[in-house]
Amino acid sequence: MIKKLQALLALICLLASAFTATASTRDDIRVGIQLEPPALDPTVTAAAAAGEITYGNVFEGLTMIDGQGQLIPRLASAWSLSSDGLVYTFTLRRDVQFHDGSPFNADVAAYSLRRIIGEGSLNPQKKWFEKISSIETSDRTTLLIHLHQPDSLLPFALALPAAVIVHPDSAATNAAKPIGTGPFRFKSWQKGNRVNLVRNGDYWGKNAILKAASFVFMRSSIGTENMLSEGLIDGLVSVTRATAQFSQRPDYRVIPRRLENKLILAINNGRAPFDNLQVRRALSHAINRNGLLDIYGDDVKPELIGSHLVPSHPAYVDLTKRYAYDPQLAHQMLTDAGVADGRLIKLSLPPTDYGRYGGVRIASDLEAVGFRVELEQVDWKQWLKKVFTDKDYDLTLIMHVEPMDMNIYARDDYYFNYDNTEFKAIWKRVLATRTPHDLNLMLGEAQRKLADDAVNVFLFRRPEENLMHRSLSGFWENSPIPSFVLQDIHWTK
Amino acid sequence: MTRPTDTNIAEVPRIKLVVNTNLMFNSWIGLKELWSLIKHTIIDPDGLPIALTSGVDKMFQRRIASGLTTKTVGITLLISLMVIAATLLTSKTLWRLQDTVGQMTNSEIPDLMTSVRMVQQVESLPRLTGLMIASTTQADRRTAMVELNDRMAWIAHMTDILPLPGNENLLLELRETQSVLLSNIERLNTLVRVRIDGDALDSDLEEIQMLSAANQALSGKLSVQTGYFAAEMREQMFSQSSQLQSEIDQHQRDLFLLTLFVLLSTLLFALYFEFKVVRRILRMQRVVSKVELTPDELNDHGRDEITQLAETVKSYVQRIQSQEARMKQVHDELAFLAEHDSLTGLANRRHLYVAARRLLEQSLQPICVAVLDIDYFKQVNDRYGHANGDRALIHISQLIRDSLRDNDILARFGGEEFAAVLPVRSLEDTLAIFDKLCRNVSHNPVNLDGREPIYLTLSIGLTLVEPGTALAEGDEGALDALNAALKEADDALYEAKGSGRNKICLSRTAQALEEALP
Repeated sequence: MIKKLQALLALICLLASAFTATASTRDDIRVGIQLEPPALDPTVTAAAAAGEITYGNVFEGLTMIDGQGQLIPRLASAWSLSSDGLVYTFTLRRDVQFHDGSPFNADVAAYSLRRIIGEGSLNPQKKWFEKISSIETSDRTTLLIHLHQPDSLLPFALALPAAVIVHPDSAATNAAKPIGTGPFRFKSWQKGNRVNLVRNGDYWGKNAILKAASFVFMRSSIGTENMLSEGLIDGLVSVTRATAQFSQRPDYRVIPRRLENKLILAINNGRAPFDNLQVRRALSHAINRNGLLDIYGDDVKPELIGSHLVPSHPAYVDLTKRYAYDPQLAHQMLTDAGVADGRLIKLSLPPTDYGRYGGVRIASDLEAVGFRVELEQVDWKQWLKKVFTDKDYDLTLIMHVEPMDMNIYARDDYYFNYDNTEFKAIWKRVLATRTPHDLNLMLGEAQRKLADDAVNVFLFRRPEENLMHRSLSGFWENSPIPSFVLQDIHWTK
Repeated sequence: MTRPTDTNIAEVPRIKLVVNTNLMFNSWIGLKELWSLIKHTIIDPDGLPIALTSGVDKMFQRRIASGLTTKTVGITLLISLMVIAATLLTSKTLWRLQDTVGQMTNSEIPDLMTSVRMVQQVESLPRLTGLMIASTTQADRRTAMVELNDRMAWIAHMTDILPLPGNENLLLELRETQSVLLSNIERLNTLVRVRIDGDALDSDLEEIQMLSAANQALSGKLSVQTGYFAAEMREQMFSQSSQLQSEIDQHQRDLFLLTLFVLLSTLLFALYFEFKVVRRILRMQRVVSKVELTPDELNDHGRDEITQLAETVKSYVQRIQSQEARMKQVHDELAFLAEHDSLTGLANRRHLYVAARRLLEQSLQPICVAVLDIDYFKQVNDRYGHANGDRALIHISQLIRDSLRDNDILARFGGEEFAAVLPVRSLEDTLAIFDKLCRNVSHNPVNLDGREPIYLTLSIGLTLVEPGTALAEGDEGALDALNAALKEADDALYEAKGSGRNKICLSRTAQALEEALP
């Protein structure tokens, strides 16, 4: 009896000590993101920010590019390719359901993929799926994708943010209220301010460590600095002018990313005087690209590019010397092309640091060759509407973040208004190549064609990095997908 | 009508007990039900230590009339409830504190910082506007304009996220001021661009001057307005913290009172325990330790375990006392047998010696020592048998006893011989006593069933011992004097027997006294 009492007493002491020792690490994160997407559904908007917020968090695809840059199964547990290379068979997970309780199965996956390639699809990456001829299901967990031609990159394409799986019941409302299968569910979107996500306790896989996450939109450079300096955000998902300054502070550190972003001065090829090749080439000579390299401060060193591909890509061709900086030559070429001095052009600038601080310098360069420039500072929604959709612009400074997205130049109605049959032919040959060597050769051809046509002024690749609180860990550093996957992120103290 | 049976009668006391403890019984049943409810529904019985559940079960399996147990359970529950209440009260305060601190940390401090930041940003506007107006190149103008737009966007955003309930009008004014400022800046931008191009008219330059002054004023106004928000926020936080302070004070008072209450209850419980348990047990202990113990002193007027204990002790004491009485009786009987002759009930020689010695030592009167013998008793035995002889012996010894005073010592000396030791005033008296004795014997024959009466006589030899004789002869003086007196009396008896029986003979000492008589 006495022994039992002693045991009971020991138990009580143990309980008491357990109650006094409580953990105090945080379980939420607030990250700053520069651009507020017009919609949170990456399958319907070209704004990369939609994927940045939702990819791997709210939405998941059949496959995924993981933190090491490897292609891994996600909602599909396995896949195989038929011997003729024309049929992919995906085996899907059984235990998955959407945040609203709807089940995930082969029919849902088939619906989701048909929506990408169907008539009137708004999908920004539908080009990747052009080789698909039909999609069918053989049972609840088996999906068959039939191709016109072999496409070894399809599993990679299915890992893109634009290919995440959506449910027919929620597809129409995902833009404002995304419902996916991921480890986080959408909680609220305070327009102009932030998007809030919370952990999905019923997630089919390993539960996320964080309980809540907020993506806070940084609307101004000074605001970014203010919020970082006061600790109102725990980090930034892309490089800004604040990055270099704050990386000096003991509570922040810089985490490199493997993004293939390209800053370009995009030109409206369909609008006079830029429909004239000479004028576009004059622009390429007019811009002092070396003079732009310090817009993020001395510690962030961008790499010059001469076409729409980054230097780290195996198919990269160095075309940075194709148009030397020569204002006099540019002015001469403009005069020759009939562009009179003092011609007023508009430079549309998205609300980013490169827009604000790069835009001022580009304007000066353009004025140095005879243009009169008016800056048009727009918010991201306006930019997407006016420039990207309505193509109502002269010039715009913009960063493209998707990996290997040269196919945009082969699109019919893209906002560059390039619409070039020769390039389209080149791109067809790119897609038809069967070996990596051939592919790289053809991609070289494509790069040269874009540089020759001076479609845009290709400026630089920004070394991408996250500025994050030192105590945060678990980032997917080596993923080429523009995304901020929260799944493994946690506070170390 | 049923007649009471044995069983009914046996049940009566038990029913009485239940009636007496009716109240207690009800509360006990309630507790028991509560425990069974707790055990089977609220908690998982397997989750509790077996020692605890079985302990409580045993407690409930005990007799229903467990007054102290009920009270102990009741008091324990009461104190537990008060401790729980105190804990809840503390927790509530802490939750409230946590809430308020959380609100301050998560919303009010950021809001205060936002409003302070806004003031700072607003104050930087005139400098930037001045920079733009002063710019001489388009590049400088654009740079200043980008900075201005950036700040205006940030100020607008902060205005949006500032929660200012009850200040809608001021908020509208704030937005209005910002919008006027922004359109002035736009206009200034255009005018400055024209001026740098060299196309400006005099009116344009005047407008620049005017707008510059107006912007200065607007920025000042904006600064005052945002400053008001900062002050408002600070005020709000201050009032919240003082409200929290007063709430904490209130809870502190409540907690103090509750603690006082718990302490008081504990004290009362201790007092109750002292008076209702300890003192009663001590009283019982005192009663039990007494030399002369009356069981009724153990009566305890209550109906709890201590009353039961007192009852048990009382019945134990009663049993012990009755046992003691029986043992004394047996002892007395044994002591009588040791000092008396079993046939006649008279004292035996041993007792005669003890009593006679005491008499010799203490008496202030002369002591008569006489030896008596029934004449021709052998013939009675021979003729009527020993049984009838014994009856005759009893008859005669009773007659002798009756003829003497109660305090006189009479013993059967053996066979049909008796000895008597008695204080006397004089020899005359002595002779009178014994003459009467002899007459009494000779006139009262022994009547045996169906036979003629047997007349018997006594021969007596007697002597006198003067007072103080025993003391004069030391420690064993009394014994010696007694032995001597008995010898003399025996000699006198022998003389009486020898001279015809049925007579009294005096010893030489007695004869000497007789002769000395006047």
